[in-house]
Amino acid sequence: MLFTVIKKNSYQDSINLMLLTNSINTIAGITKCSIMMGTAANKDILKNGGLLTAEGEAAAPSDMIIAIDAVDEKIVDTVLAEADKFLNDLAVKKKSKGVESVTNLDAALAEMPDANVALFSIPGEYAADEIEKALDKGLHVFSFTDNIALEDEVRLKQKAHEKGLLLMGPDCGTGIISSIPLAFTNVVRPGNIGIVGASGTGIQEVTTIIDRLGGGVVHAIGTGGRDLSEEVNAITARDAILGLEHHDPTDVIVVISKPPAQKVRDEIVELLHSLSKPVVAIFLGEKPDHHEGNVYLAHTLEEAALMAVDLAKNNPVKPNYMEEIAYQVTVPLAPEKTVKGLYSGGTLAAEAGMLIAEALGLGKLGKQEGYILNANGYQVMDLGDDIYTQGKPHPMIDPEIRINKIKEYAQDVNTGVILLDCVLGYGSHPDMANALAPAIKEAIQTAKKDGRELYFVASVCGTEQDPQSYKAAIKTLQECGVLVETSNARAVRLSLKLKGIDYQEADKCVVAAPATKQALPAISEQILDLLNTKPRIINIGLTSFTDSIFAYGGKAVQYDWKPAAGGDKRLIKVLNALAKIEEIEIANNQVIERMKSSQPFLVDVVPAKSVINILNDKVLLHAGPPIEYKDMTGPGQGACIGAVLFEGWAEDEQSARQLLESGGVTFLPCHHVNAVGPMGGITSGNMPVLVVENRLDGTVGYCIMNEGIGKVLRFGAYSEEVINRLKWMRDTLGPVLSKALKRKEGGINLNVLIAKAITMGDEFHQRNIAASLCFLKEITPLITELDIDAKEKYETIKFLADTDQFFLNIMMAASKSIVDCARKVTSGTVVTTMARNGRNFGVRISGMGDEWFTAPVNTPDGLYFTGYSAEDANPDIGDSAITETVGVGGMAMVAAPGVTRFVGAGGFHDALKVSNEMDTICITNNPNWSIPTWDFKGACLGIDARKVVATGITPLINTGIAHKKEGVGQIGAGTVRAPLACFEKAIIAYAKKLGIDVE
Amino acid sequence: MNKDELNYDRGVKSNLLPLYLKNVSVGNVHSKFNNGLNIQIGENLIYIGRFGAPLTAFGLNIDEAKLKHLLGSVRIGDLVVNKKDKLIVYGCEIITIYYSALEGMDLKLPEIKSRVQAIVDNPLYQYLDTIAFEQCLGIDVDEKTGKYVELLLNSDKADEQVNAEIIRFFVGRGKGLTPGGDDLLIGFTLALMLFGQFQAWKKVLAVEVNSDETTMISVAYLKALLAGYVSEHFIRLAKLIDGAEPDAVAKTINEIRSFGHTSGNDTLFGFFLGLKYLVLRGTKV
Repeated sequence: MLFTVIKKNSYQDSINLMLLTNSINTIAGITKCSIMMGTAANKDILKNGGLLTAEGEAAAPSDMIIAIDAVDEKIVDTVLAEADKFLNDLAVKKKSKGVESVTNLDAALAEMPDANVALFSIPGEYAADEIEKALDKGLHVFSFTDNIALEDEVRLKQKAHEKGLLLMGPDCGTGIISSIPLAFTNVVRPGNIGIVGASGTGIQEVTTIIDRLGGGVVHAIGTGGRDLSEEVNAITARDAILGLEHHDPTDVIVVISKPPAQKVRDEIVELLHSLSKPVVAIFLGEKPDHHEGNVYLAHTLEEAALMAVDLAKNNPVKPNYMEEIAYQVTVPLAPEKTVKGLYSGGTLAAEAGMLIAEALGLGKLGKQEGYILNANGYQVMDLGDDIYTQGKPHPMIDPEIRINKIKEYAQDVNTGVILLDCVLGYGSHPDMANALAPAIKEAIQTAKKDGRELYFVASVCGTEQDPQSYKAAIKTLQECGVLVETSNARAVRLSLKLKGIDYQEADKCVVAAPATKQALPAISEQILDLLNTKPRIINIGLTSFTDSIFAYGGKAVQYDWKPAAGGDKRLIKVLNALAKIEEIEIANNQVIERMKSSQPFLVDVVPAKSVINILNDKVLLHAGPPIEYKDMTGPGQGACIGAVLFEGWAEDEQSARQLLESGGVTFLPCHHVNAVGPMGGITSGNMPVLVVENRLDGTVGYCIMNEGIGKVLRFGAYSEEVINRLKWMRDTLGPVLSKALKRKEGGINLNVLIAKAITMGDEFHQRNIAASLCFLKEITPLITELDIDAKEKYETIKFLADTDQFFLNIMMAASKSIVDCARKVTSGTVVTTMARNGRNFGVRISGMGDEWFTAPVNTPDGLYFTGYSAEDANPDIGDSAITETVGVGGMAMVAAPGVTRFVGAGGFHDALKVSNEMDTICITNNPNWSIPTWDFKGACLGIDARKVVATGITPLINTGIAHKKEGVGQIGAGTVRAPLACFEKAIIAYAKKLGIDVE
Repeated sequence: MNKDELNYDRGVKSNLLPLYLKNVSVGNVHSKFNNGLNIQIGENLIYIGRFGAPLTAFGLNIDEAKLKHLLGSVRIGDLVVNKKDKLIVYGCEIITIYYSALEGMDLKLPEIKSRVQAIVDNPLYQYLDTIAFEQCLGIDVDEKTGKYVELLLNSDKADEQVNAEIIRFFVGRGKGLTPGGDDLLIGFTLALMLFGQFQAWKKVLAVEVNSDETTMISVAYLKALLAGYVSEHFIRLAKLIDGAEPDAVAKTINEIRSFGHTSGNDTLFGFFLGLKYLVLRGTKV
């Protein structure tokens, strides 16, 4: 029976998930299990494996699919517990290693400004764009990532070349840069040999033999297997060869390639002839019969290593490097017995296939279905081929495929020799020899029992410095009966010797090189820097790749990559196109510069209709994007009834409701008339509004005054008590504050007040007590000076003193004056409005002016007053998210850790986490509002809708929770996320406006 | 090589070095200490020490900061490549030492004007005679050692067989990088070489003191001595024979005595025995 669990937005790289899958599959009771990210390619694999269910099909690329085939449903809990433990252990390991980790490239560069290499191990389907970003930042790229389209490789390599950078890869499994092993690489003694290789295990075999011969390698630059193809034209190989020519500590250059395009090969050889340094070149599949001048042509990887070491020691190159195989064969294997090569290394398999084919005259190799050679019963398999590794770890990591193949071939009476490689080094299995040993022993014993001869021959590709011990691997293999040779070529020759074939090489002489040398192009400063310094690496993907970097003196910062926009390729395309438009950065900077430079002053309190002309008609303002009365939720409708009663447009609740339902009142968003309103946001003409003037350019913002807590209009209450308070506010509070403010020349400087209060623990949405008290401190002396009735003074001061959240509405008006000033820049992707009407969440961005982009609102999570629960909660409502728009409220949670408890969002560390997360979607920080608990970093500023879409991180809003029924009022407080969809819509609309193809 | 590294080094080198570096291209880091390291290049060792410290016969001294950087980067076995004007050390970092531009120091044994007959009256000899070497040597001063010391003082240095017997006793005897017996032989030979050829002695020494019998470092010191080169200390010591104030003698001897654990004392003891042997012989050979 199939069970599927979807972990939403839980990105993990594929290698970790494959290892997890292996571990889960060992649990008793599991028939089959696969854990993968929900990409289209992975769904195909699950489908082929009979593990795809409807839930799996519906998963997004950023969702983790845990697909289980088991008899008992109870096993699912065990699987989930194991999976959580495995993933937690990964996180703990990273933490204990002290790896600095970030979540985007800019943050990585901020962490390590002198970074010069980006090391990629991310899924290929997303890699081309990410690599391009790294190149655009001036970073060399080492791409372990494969499955990148050939045309992308060509384009990116051309770009890298033009920028003076090296693109090593894609599918570059191995590399050594300034003696630091990268990716799947052996630890090789540093020395005066430099290697350029279009072959991963080819580099590993040559470098490890060099090390064991006492030589050393300073650089081994992988180019990716396709570099010497006609299409790519050896762009990386040429630059790398020239780099080594100019690298003083490199005395000998080795070039390794799988069979190249003939034209490219000839051009490369021509280039090699023009170098001043001796070169050893091996083009696998070629059987050279001479050397040319200073270019020494090798037939096998072993020969390449031996020649390189001689040249590095200034010794003459010998005519022949083939030494006798010591193992004595008395009776060769019978003619029907053949050799079966089971390889984890592609190039090692290719070399084995080549040598066997040459020895037996089997003709040219043609790769088919994972076979490097399949003729006359002789078979050499590259078990790292895609057909064996789909959804499974590479055989260098996972012994399973080889164990199965050993069992399979050992049953075949015609198998005379099983030929193996055992590749050590970073990235490989911690003890492959031991992992294969039981299967080898069993196979030998079975063959012996059946009276058959079966030999195992192997070579170990490694050094004594590797994390696994070279000597121990040999010992393990020998102890279980394997004949171990010192190179792959020798292992193949031993296999042939067991068949009675004595493989020999002819001597090679040196013929003169072509007389003309081509002028060598100059090499870029960046490549010289790469080759002459220790690399400073941004590791994008597998964290374990930082192990070798740190161990050998390199620097690295970990970028925990996950696909942008949840893996939505359409959005990724749009985001990448937008990223290339420099004008957006300029416009965004202009927008946030206006926000930063804003000078909001509270100057007056006036009847709304005196400043908002339309309120002289039968019009009510509401919160959020446009909405009609009939579509409003309970609190909004209740507030409308209250406003109608307050304005005297109806005598009672019933007639008020009739008036509203009949369309007798027109509605307009507060935001359309320079105003904002909390919760329902219902504002009528006679309600007093706070007037905040932004002295930067005179933009004004209005907001009704805070009514206090309990039964209040903004939460939809409209009882007599509510209406009477509104009338008192109209007749007393408003006029008194207006008079008082007039005594303060220029009004109250709100920047100063906000700056003070944020240091006192306010975040200005859920907590305003400090700001409200500071305001009281400012206004009280002014009120006491007024020539009015003492009762009015007392009532006003008492009301202000009792209303902890009074400043929220001032902050909202101030925020509105700030964003409306910034909105005058009509380009860019800065979010300039976030507001909710109880049904929809609406955003506006600078580049799209007044246009709203909406999506259904979420319901807040939080704590409820006694007697209420989430079932009673109204969906998110109000314009108060204007505070988050300017970077306070939930964005500044760290300023008010007390609030996190109140809204049920945890403690201080949770508050810090929230602000840090919000920081990642903002462009900068506001130096005017510095937060002590954030080490005096300024509040977040300028939410960039592109970042929201790219990261999937949406603004977190602190909010009160209204009862869904009108008239009940506030029932709790909590937090709510802005829905991602409205930001996505805004970005797509803006891209369209800029003429970007969004389809 | 770091990008900011200049193609220049401050320091000093022995004038034996160019001979050692001629026609050899690749070597390895042989040994590493707190204040320097040995590089084996071809059949020779080269000691890289701190500029300001006494220069070794087969050494070069470089700026202290660069030496520290080098010591922090290299491991024993790391490759070293000799190019025509520089050594490139392939450690954790690639560090280049530009030796050709370093100031050369003449460490060839000086010509001595004094005659053997004058040794007993020499303040250096008299000072050495006051030192209770037995208490500060790196070899056990037992009956057997006493016997070979006697043989050293009284045997005919033209007798290769006896020479071999003596040398085989002392070579490799004692602990450390330069065992006390080796230092003693070196000091003894140094004294002899200042006053004569002693070909038979040197011939046997060259054969018997090899890396099968003692450390490569001892072999290196002896090899340099047989080629006529000694460390800066011993140049100063040798020059004292032609006359010096008692204070200067004391200063030089104390400096040598402080070298190594017992190495300075062992060498001085050998040197004293050499002088004594010459006095006993009473002739300049």
